[in-house]
Amino acid sequence: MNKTQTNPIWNFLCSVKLTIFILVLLAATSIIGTIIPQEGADSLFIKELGPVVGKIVISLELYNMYQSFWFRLIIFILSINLIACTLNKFPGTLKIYGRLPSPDREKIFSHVSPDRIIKSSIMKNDAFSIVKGLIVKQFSRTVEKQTEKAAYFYGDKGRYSLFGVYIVHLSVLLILAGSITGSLFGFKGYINILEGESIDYVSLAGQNRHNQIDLGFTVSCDKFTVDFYNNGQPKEYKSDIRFSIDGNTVKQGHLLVNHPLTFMGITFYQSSYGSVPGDEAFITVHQKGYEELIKLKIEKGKPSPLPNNGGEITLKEIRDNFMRMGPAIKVHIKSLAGEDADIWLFKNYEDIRQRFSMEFEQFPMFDPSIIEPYTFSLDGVESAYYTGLQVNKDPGVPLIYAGFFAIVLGLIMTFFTSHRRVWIRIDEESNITTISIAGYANKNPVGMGRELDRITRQLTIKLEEKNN
Amino acid sequence: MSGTILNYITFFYFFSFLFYLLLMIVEKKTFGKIATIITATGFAGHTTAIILRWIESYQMGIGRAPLSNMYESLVFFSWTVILLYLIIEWRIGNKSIGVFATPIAFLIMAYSSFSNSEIQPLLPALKSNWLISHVITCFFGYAAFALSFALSIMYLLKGRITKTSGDIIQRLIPDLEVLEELSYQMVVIGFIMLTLGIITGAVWANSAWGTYWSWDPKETWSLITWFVYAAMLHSRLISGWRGKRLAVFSIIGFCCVIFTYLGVNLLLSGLHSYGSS
Repeated sequence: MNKTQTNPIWNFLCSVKLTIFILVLLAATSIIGTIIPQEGADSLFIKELGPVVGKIVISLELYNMYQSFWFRLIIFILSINLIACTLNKFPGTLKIYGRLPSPDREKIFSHVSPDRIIKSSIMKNDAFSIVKGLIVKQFSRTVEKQTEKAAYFYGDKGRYSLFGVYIVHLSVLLILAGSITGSLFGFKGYINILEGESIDYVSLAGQNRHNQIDLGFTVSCDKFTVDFYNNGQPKEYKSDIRFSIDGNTVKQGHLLVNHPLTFMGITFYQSSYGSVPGDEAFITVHQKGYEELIKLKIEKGKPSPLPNNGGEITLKEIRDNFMRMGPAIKVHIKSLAGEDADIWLFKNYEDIRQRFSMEFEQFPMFDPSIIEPYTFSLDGVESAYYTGLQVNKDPGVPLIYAGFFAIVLGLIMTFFTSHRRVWIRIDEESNITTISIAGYANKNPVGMGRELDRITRQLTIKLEEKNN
Repeated sequence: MSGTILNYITFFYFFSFLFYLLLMIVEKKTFGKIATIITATGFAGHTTAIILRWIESYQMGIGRAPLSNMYESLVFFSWTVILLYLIIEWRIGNKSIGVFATPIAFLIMAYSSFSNSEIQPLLPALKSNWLISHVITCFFGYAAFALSFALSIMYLLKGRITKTSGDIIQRLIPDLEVLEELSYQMVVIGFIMLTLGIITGAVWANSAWGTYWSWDPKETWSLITWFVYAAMLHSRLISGWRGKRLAVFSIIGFCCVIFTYLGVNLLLSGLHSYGSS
């Protein structure tokens, strides 16, 4: 790395100043997309902004900012910065990881706090074995050295914590790689399936809408159910889904919100539901001169005989909400005398008539009594539920989840573990044995101080036990 | 029942703030003791009320953790602030932080009284085991950031007041190094919790909607907050920033937290709209 260290561009790319700048820049620019609706270029909002601001919004793709070229460029620079920092620092870290410092570093003992110096009348050799017993037990690597003057120990632990920060940075790259994988090799779409029907393609969402892809298998919704709370809020909705290839059922299951189903790498999510009119309607027929009301079920396209050999009625159209006046049907009526007419029947006929009184009666097609001697009314229409499914293929998700796991692991290693190193010297002068305890950690100096105090305390106790 | 208790808790925290303040003005140890007792009693009541609310939801046949709308999140946020504060007071044995921490809890509780406190049933999308872990991690994070904010304010205050004019403040507020270290520790805890909160939210969104990230305003603001604290940690750990600059950073960070939490619900719309009532 010596050659590259002097390169100004390289130095810029691995500087932490760049990191901080990019992080602040990402934070600042991300705000824009939370204010400007991210709904695409033709949104009304842009027109409201006026020509100048509107032009800025369009040229910077602020309506789709997080996918815009410049925002991706910032993220790209962040990843370059991460990689450069890693390449720059990692060899040094490896060196520290591999190196075993010599135990007799006199310099370290030059400013040991007096609290961490134990004086005892114990023999030097006994002190040596006590210190050794403690150090070997508490540290993962230990080295000892005896010189004529003194005995030395070195111990360290938590070396792996040196890698925590690399794991965090790697995990950010993993998450970015996952999102790229997803956008390159995955898709997002949606399907609506009527209860009892099947579908074998999916409509894409977002920028590729209007496109469809063949699934290569068939998805059927055998049953759809929805439960409500007492206040009318939906409690749970469920689709019984069946996946089949060439007519053979391969997989079956319940699909609920928060409980997706995956088939051949494509995941189905319960996302919405709705109802569409079916093919049947229920009507009541009143015939002049008869007390009795007759209830009929009529089916689309099929003529049904009217009571008392009077003629026939055919259902032509069903509307959920016709001209915002609620459910309505269009029927063709033919009397025995050969008169015929198309009329609309409304479920809320009485309400509508009161609301529109005058105008409504001018239209014969809204008159339920137009064909003598009948008066028709609509009791209800049969409706069918459809289930709305989000359909996704995202091969990037495993990478994303691996990144999630790694970032948490890395953060815990970075902040809650430290590489702790301790040096202990035992020397003897005029029958007094002196034990000095020194050490430091790559972070959390307070915690390291406490650890050194603890070692001092434990040694003092053991030395006293031995003395007695 | 739980609602009544929580109304009283608001006053408890107000009085603990008053007594911590009295301690700072007249420097009598009794006031400090009273303040701690009020806070701890309030906290015990607060905990009971949250558990009671949980039980009440089962009695209503809804049966869900009390962590799923604006009101409940505010109550839980305030609870975590007091919990973290009491831990700090117990660990460092200094009560002056209470003057700055208890009003945060009090204000959150007072603000919660403006939201709908009814126990409502859950929408299908909220029925997930991820709900509890998402809310708990997020609010522990927010609470840690709130305490770092309080400590940073103290840091700036202590740095400003000269020895002659603010004798009591100099004596009662911990040393600048202690404040700084504590504030940093809170940011570390907050950052890890925020990371976990974003992750649990993403995993949940992926199981509910098939998208782990959709740049919804709330998600984006939580990421903005994450960027700000990430920048702060880098500036401390690598560039060696200390003191005033970091305190200001922490205050900016907490403003982002508040915007993520409240501003987005009030001003912007998105997936978290169920959190607005």
